[in-house]
Amino acid sequence: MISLFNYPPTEEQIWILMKIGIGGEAGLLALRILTILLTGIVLWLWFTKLKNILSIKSSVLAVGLLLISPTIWVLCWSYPLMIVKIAAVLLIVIFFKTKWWVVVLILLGIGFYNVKFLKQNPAILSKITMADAKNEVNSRFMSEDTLRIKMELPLWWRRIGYNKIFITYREVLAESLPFLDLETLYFQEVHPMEQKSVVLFYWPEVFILVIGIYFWVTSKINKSAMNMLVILMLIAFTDYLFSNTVVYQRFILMLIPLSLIMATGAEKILTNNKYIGGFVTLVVLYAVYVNGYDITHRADFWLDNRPLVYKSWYAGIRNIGVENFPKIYISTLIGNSDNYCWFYLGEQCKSDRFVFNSFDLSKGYIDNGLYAGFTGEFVGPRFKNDFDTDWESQLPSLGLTLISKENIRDTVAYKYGNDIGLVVKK
Amino acid sequence: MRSKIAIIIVVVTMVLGIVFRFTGLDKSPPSLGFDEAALGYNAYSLLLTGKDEYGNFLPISLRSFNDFKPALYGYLTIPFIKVFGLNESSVRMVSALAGIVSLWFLYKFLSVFIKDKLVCSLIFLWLSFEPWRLHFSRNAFETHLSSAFFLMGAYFLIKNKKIFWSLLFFGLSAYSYHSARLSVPMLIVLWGIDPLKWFWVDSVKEMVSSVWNGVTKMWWILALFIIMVIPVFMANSSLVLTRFNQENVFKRFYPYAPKEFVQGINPFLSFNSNALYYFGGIISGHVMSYFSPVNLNSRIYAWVKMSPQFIPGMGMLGWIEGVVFLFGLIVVIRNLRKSFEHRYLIYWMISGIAPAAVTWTWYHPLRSLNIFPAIEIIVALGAVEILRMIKNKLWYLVIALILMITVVYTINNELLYSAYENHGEYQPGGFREGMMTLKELSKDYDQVIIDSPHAQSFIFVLFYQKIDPNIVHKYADIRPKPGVEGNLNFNFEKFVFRPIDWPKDRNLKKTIIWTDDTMSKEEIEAIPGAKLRMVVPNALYDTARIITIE
Repeated sequence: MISLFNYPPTEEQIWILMKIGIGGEAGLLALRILTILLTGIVLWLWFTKLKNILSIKSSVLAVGLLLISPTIWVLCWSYPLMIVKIAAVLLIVIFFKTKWWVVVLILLGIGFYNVKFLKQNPAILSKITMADAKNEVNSRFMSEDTLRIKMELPLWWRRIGYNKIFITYREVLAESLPFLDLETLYFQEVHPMEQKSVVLFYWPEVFILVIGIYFWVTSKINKSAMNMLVILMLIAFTDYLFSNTVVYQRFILMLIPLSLIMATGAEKILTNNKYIGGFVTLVVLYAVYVNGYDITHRADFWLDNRPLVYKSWYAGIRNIGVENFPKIYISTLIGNSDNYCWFYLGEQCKSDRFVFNSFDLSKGYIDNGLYAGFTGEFVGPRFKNDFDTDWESQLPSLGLTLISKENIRDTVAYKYGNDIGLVVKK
Repeated sequence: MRSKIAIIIVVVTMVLGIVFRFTGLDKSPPSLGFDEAALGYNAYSLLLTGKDEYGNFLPISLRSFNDFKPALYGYLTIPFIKVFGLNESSVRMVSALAGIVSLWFLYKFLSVFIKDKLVCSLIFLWLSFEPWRLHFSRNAFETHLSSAFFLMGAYFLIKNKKIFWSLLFFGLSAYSYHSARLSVPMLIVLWGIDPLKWFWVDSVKEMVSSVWNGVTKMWWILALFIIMVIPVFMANSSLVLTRFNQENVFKRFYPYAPKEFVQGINPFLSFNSNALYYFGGIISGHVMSYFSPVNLNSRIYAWVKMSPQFIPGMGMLGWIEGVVFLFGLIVVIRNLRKSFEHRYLIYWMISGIAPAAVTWTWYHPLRSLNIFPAIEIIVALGAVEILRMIKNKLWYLVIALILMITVVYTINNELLYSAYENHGEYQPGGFREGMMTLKELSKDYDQVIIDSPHAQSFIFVLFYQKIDPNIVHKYADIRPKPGVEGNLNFNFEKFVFRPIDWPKDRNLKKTIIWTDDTMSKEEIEAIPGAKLRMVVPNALYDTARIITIE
């Protein structure tokens, strides 16, 4: 069982630690505590802002609903830059009046932050430039023209429907619509496509949302609250469009407006009927418990598995000693990991001893040294990713000795297996 | 003036509806699907003998591929086969006709909610080209027929004047497809007791009174409906239940909670991961998925893609309707308290979703087809709301232009692109092109071997060769028994369905072989006495070869 609490650092945590020059577990813990503190302060300020425009109960509930979201826990623990983004948006909304130019600045800033700091390449950019649309128009015409039995429609007619501008409109819509994806927002616990994502809101909360929507559209809601809701949704939408990362992180800013709507619903439930209110509270608390139990027992199911791979390799290397090997080859199949090397092994990673590159030990001459990689790199890749469970029995014939082996839950390097390990060639 | 223009638009919409539903039914989709062929051949058999392909006299359900299709579609197809013969068009005409009738009732329904006739007619024109409407009207789907009847029944129910008609159409709906057998009673009950109203009653006494009034209003309608559909449940009820056992949500997802947390314990007694919690999530998710704009608009689940309900490149609705649907939902929610008609839309949605929600698939348009007219009405309400918010009239022009292009795109998509994407797997093609040649040739040969990758290819032989149903009835006893799924081919007369084994079969005499083997003409004719008679094309590629061995 892999718990959230001892989950290895993410790439952005390591990047921050490198920038401030503090590595190791103590640095990581300090960073995590700082991130939690930042979240706490921002949410407190958010509460003080909310109580001016909503009732006290709704304000408490809105912040409470955010606090019980597993996504917020995970971001606090592993994604400080995401927390910075949430904090920045909330602080601007808290301290600036919601003028149109402030909103435009936030929207531009979010796009810049995602591309520059979070190194994301939003898919929407290729849609707007019509690159994909051109391909689709050609492909549609060609596909239809190959039909031997077909209805004949005039070319001019087909061109009205199949043209770059309209297809671009369609593709931008297709890129935007998942922003309204109820499954991802509320049904991650039972998601039909088993996508890799942390729970944003628990499924019972969808009913609180429905009731919240009812009261938002039928009651006389404070105009500034309504403005704030619309602006927060617009910001969340822009962030969603101009990001390209795991799905729950694309939705993080949507948590805030949804929590406002749900808070109103929850308040009405709690005040209108104490029995129903009590029941709903129990169900939501149970949801918190069930998900808490889940994520603290199998964090690898919910989170990115690559940090586990790096931890396994570098902690293994540290245990057997860097100095014992003339060369240490680290696989780059899932990205360059020299930052992780620095985190686990310190400055010695800068020496010539370390080689960061992919390898295939099943082919030809092998240099002496220690190899950290995937099964497929040791015994050759397999197209269907179907390796024997005792693949290590093939190693002696290649002159290799297995030092350690670990299985990871997700396939992060297809064709190379779900086992990772350290192998020595002497 | 406005109402005259509105009438013209409605007439034009209906005419266009007829044109795009009936034109080229034999070419798009270019080949029949298995279920279409089965419906057609059973109707042919009923026409000639009064019995289905198994020899059952005037059945309520067609055993077909052991899936016991409700038989009404087959019966309604009989006149078209009588007039036009057994072909693709005649099989699809009932669905096309259902599409037209459904269109008209969509307009009637829209008129209930939108009082401005011009706006109503323009929205009707737009909605008449929804992808699902075109797609389901151009394929023979008993579900589509059922959905049209359901819409008609729902219309007369909300009118609360001609309950006889409502009952009649609901009954026909139940005889057309399974879903209606649950949806109809649910809708009648919800319509009668109007539970959403309870949120605004002030006392328990008032609520009890409301429930009592509701029960007295609807019990006899419900009772009559149940009496009407008793024969459906009497006939093959255990086999229909077998089907439900395979598809239901209760069995497929057990133990509902993550398996690694409930191993070795009763999942319902687990505190850390209680099965009931996860099961609640699954059912709630199933219901909510039908309100999700992404599902309605663009997301295609694997089980949808691998079936005839798949509309390539689009969801059931056009490209903007999912968003407009959200606006419509807000309108519905805003009017819940004061308007029964708006509450009725929610009841319609819930009762239409219920049969689909208890099956294992998350979002399944085919099983929930009854709700799509309700969704369209909600979209229409959203559109009216958006139009109301627009101040600058230039936007009307922009919207009209986008919608017009969307309609053209949808038509291209359904008539051409869909034919390309859907061809092959469940619309295999080639049988129409090759069967006449096979029929002519088979007169001079002792045996015909059909080597096809399709598990039910026999149905195309029956359909395209118009095999005398009396002959097929004789083989009913040797056919795979009810409950068996997968390969349902059976040998009859000269026809043998099996894979070809060339090392052995090259020695056969007086035999015709239909095979998808990719042997070249030279390779075939190197076999003593063998001759390539025809390379059989389908709409996209050469799919089979007809080979004779003397």
